[in-house]
Amino acid sequence: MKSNSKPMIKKDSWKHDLKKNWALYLIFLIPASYFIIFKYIPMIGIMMAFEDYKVSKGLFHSKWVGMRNFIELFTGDQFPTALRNTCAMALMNLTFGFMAPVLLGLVIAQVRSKRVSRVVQTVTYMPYFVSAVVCCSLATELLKETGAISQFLSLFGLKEQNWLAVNSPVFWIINCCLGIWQGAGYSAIIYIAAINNISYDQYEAAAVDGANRFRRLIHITIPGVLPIIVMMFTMQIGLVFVTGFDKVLLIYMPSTYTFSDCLTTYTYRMAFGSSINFGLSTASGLFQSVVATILLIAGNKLSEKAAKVSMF
Amino acid sequence: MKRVWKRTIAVGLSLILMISTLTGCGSSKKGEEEFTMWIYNDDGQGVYYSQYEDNDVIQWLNAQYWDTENKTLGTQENGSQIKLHFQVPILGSESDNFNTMIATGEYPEMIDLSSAGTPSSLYEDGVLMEITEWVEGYMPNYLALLDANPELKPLVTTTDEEGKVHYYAIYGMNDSLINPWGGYMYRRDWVVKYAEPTKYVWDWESEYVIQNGHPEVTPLLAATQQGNLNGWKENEVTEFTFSQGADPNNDWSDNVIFPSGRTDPYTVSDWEWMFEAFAKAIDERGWTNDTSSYCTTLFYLGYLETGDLVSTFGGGGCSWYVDENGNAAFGGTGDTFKTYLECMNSWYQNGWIDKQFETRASDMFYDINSSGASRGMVGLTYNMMGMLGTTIRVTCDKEEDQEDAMFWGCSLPVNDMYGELSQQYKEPDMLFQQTLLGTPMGFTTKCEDRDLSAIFSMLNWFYSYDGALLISKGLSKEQYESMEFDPDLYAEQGLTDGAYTITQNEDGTSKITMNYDSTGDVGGALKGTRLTAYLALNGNGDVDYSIDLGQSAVTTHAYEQWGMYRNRAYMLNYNILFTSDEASAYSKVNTYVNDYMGQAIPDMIKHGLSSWEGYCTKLLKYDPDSITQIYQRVIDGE
Repeated sequence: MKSNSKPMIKKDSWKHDLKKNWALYLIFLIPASYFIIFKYIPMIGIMMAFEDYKVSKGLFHSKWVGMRNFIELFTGDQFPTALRNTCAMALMNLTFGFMAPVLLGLVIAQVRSKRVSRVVQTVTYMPYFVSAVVCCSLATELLKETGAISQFLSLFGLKEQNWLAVNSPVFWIINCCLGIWQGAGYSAIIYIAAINNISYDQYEAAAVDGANRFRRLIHITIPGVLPIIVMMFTMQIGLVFVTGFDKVLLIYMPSTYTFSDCLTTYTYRMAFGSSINFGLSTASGLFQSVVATILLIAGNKLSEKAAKVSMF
Repeated sequence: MKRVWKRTIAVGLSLILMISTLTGCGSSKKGEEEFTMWIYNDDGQGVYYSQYEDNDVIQWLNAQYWDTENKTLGTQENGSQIKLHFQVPILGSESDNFNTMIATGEYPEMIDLSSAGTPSSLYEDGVLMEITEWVEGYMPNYLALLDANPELKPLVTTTDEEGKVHYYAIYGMNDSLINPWGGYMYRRDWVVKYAEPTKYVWDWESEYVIQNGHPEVTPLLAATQQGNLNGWKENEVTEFTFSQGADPNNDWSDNVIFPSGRTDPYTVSDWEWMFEAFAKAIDERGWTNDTSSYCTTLFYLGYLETGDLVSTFGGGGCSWYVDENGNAAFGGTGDTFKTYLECMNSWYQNGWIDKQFETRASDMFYDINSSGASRGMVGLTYNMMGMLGTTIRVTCDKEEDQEDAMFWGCSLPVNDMYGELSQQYKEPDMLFQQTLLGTPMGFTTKCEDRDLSAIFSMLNWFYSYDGALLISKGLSKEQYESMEFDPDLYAEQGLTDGAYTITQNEDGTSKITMNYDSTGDVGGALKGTRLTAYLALNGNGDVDYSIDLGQSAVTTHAYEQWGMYRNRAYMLNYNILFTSDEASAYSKVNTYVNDYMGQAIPDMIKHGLSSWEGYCTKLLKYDPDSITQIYQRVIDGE
């Protein structure tokens, strides 16, 4: 995390620092090696995006096809629909999906009874440990024509139907809600921890000055956790295009592709349909990574300007 | 002293570790008679033996000698031994393992090619070696089989521009239709209880039906409305009854007569007649509004790419198929498919089809809504043979079904009521399961400088009756008693008299009676079928022997029903002859076509065919005709 006011510290030379803190450097070597071996070296596989990759010919002997895989990806009939749906679902995840754990964290922190607070926290973060398959099976059961949610919604005059089979933006809402249900409790932990780190003296002083709980929340708690919120938001921007694929794959169906198909599911079908097309899937992965990186940098710049807080 | 001991032990352990590691590195030097084969799967995943070499059939083969002069089983004096070893991927990672093996070049001498692309492309990539010389020199039995089935030869060979035939793989073959592992099955008990015998049924002895295979007007409603009952007769059965006997799977009997005059459903109108009965059963059980309960199931796409029920409505399928003139055709915009959709829409409107069929996207086509079917809530379904007979009684919801539920296999119906006359009364001809061609097996370039005469002599024997019997049925009593086995699954299973017994039928032909239920899970472990390249004896159709698999009467009946029609139009077999570029083109077009059809078809089944023209226009934009042309080239052998 970069702060605008930097204290003046006399820098040691690199060699001197290594000599002094060799044990720390040694410990650092482990994650560094991990990232180099398992994250950076495999990046050479990006070449597949520009090749007609054949397993038997390998990375260095497959035919170089330039941008052909990208052209195939972008000119696909379903690509615009998939891109639109991805953007829509990403936007919902970034707004409602992101705000849900923040609100949950704030609410849990306001609960006076420790027991109630712990119970709520446990109950809300448990779904995170449920696998996506189980989570989606539950959603399928609850949302089918005779499911509990469908029955409940019918009380408000909505049609009794299988909501997952409805070919409309309802799918985006379902996907967002599913994400919130599964991840909000777990994501809220970091906000609760940040709130707990705020000095109690500030609350006491505010209370003495006559601030009620809501005012204390607005003027102390939220500003106190804002840097964390901004950091999490920036990270979320970078991931928003690539996360949630498993859930969509598990609950979508051909008859709802118009609103459920996203870039990852589209690529999955195109690249692993009749036969495996490694080039196309790598091209799609690269495209999404590039978009994610641009979003991440843009988000970071934005937060630096708006909230004076940035990750790098 | 203590320190010295510690050091000695540490050095010793290090040495052991180093030696064992180095032993595992690189390819071991083997005797020329040793071959390792990569197989897709073994049987039971370690339940019956820890490695496939321990299979009794493989143990027996590894103890034999092979006569390279006569290309058959030999003796110690005139033959040489082959030791087979196996590499088996972890369950669920077969394709990954195959790809890794090919990519790293660390493949063994022989490979089961079920995970591979075309053998010719693997040859071009330098993975497989050409085996023409060995096949032509040492496999007369295999060549004789190809000569006897000339339609298969172009599928297993590659012909170059000069007309020379090349072999890059050896294919497993079936001597007759393979016993299906599943198919359509229906609730026979519901038919008995809820269907009402029709007043008239087809008169198979009438002159008109003898000449034409059907009455002049069908279905019955149309015949009675038109007052033309030529080919119909009064139904003698006025009430259906049944008896379960002591063992319902073998003793069940009833007097059901379908409108087609048969004891099994034969026509589309027979199916509709059944559906009316199923609807009554469902209604009586209070399941009318339960989405798990319905008359018949349908795959979530609304069709099967492999044809099947689509084929009922005039032949062919909804993807590429071989038409009646032997040419390649695309069925996605054809009359057969359109009529199929009209029928499906009619069934949907009548409430017979699963209302939520398109939402069951995660269900395999052979196991749709398994909980509903197991609970006895489905009338007709496509399922595996384990579901036949009385299996579901233990899981049925209703007491009545727990006592009487009975699933019987049925064939695809013949269309007698939808579409043009030219689309009616034709046998379905594009089916998923029935093909005489098995999986290919190839020799890799690791064998290029080796003498393969013994192993090809052994493979040649696998295509003889005796060899085929061993691989596809297991050890005979004599073979079992000829040596000691360790481990011995046959002894564990109480099969010390061998896997089968051969007796004579009344007509003088031989009858192979399996000494265990070979359709069960352990069946594969007692045979050698993972060797891939062999002739499978199935005992169906025009062969001079019969097989009693030891299964129940209800299973035998289902086999008869599922094997009723010949798979003439099936075209996916031809894909193995695509060049690399053709395979890429096919993959791309087929993916787009299926993707679009999957989105458009359920809507037409549910809401009618008003969008048919627009659907055809859009589908043709994906250029399916370019693939038809590729198939035509393959058919023509150009």
